[in-house]
Amino acid sequence: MNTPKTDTGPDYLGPESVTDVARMVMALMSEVWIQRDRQIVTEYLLETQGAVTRQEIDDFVPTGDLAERIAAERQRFANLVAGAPIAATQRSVSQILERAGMDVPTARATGT
Amino acid sequence: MTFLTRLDDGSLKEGAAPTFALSQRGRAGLEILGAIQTFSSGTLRPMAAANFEENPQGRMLGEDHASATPAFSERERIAKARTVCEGDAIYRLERFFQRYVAEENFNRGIPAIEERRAEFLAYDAAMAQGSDAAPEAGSLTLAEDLAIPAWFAPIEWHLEPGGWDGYDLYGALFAFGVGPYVFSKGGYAAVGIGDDIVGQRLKTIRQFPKDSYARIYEPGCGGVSTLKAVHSVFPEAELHGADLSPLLLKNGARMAARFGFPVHLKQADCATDTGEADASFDGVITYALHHELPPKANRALFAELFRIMKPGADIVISDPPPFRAVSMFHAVILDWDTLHREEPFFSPVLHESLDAMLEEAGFEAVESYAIGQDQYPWITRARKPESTAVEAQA
Ligand SMILES: C[S@@+](CC[C@H](N)C(=O)[O-])C[C@H]1O[C@@H](n2cnc3c(N)ncnc32)[C@H](O)[C@@H]1O
Repeated sequence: MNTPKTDTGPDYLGPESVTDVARMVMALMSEVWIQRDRQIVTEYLLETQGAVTRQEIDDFVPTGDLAERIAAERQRFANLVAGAPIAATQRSVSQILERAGMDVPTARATGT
Repeated sequence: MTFLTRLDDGSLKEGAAPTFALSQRGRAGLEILGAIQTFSSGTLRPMAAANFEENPQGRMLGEDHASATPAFSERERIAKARTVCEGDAIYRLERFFQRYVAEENFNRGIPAIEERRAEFLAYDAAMAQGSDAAPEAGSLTLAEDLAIPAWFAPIEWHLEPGGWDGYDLYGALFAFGVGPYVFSKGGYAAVGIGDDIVGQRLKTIRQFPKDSYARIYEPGCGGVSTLKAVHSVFPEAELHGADLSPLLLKNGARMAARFGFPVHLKQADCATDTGEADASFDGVITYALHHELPPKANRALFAELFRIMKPGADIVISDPPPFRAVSMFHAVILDWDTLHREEPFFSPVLHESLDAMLEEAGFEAVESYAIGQDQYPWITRARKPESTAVEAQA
């Protein structure tokens, strides 16, 4: 294979592989979320029952308030990671707060 | 599109059977896909749509699309509009996420259900024991020597590895994974963001014009999610369904027994021969079927359905809207599924008119209209004449 040279060395992947790099980032994002979810579940089980086994965490299915809290956190996480490219240009205070899943304060506070 | 409801939904009797769930890892890995899809179709897609409208070429094409005397053919228009869309980084990002989620539904989903195989089989066996329908109430007839159409066999519909029958736990994967965690958020293919796919089925069934039906038939019934909705609207109706996929039919028969409604299921190529008697049904429902058949097979299917319907019987169809019914931007979105979510006949069918096909087959009172956002579900309904022209003359 003829590997093109760039200023910083050989370009192993080539420009068309940016989509594959995005796939790698997304795979990592999912793995990070799975850990984050596990942490929320673990904290919840520790808080409510004092001790917890790995099996209990594996089998636990969040319901009610906890499920809602996790869903909100998950959407915020997805918006931040998947929305990172638009964060480069959509940078008003209200856009930044919306992406963070927070209420946008009144016009005075954001100066708009 | 695949639409399956949860096996353990609210209509099951309290405490009737043990529950089944994915592991924390399996669940969270699919739930994040649902969140990505929500962001993609809920936030990015409206931005891409606005960018398209602001683009002078996009606006011109939109006007042409809406015009009664367009300058371009529908295919030319969509090709040009796609070029405009692809010039927009937001559109490309949105489509990347759509494709990514469609791939990952299986990349993540298959391991998530495989990891719970033993638990699922135990759950399934316990549920089968607890079901209240008498086994003789319904029936399942498989046809091992059925000729599977050449246009059907090689397709991995919706990027599903091996096609509908490619993996024995696909039913469980949809019922306990992709269904509740990803599809239930809407925002894929023709399904709008936040759409309730169970409610959409019920609303579709309510488009039948009469108050009661004795016998209802569904070609391409898959795992019987739609027949289940038919049963809740017309509990008196005797239900019959057919599909090419033996796996879906087996799952469907189990599901129907579990929910306690009898159905008669047959493996058949409905476009060739349903195996049903002439003039034997009062109603026909099709749901998410026609966009999966080549236009020619759809014409043959309508002729076959016409044959098995009684004079005066009604047909109600829900399928993605034709391109002519949606905005220019949305036409590009729908067209994308054809090449990118393994739906080879999606665009060929959306360029056509099911209304015209029904009329060709002899139906009357043909009408079509939307009952939801972005023109979906798109309903087409018609009636078989009380007397055919030949009989009328006799
Ligand atoms: C998207 S699924 C919809 C399933 C079902 N109608 C529902 O609402 O859940 C389309 C189904 O049509 C079936 N199908 C496609 N072509 C068919 C044919 N010629 N004869 C019978 N079934 C067919 C497929 O196997 C698949 O199960």
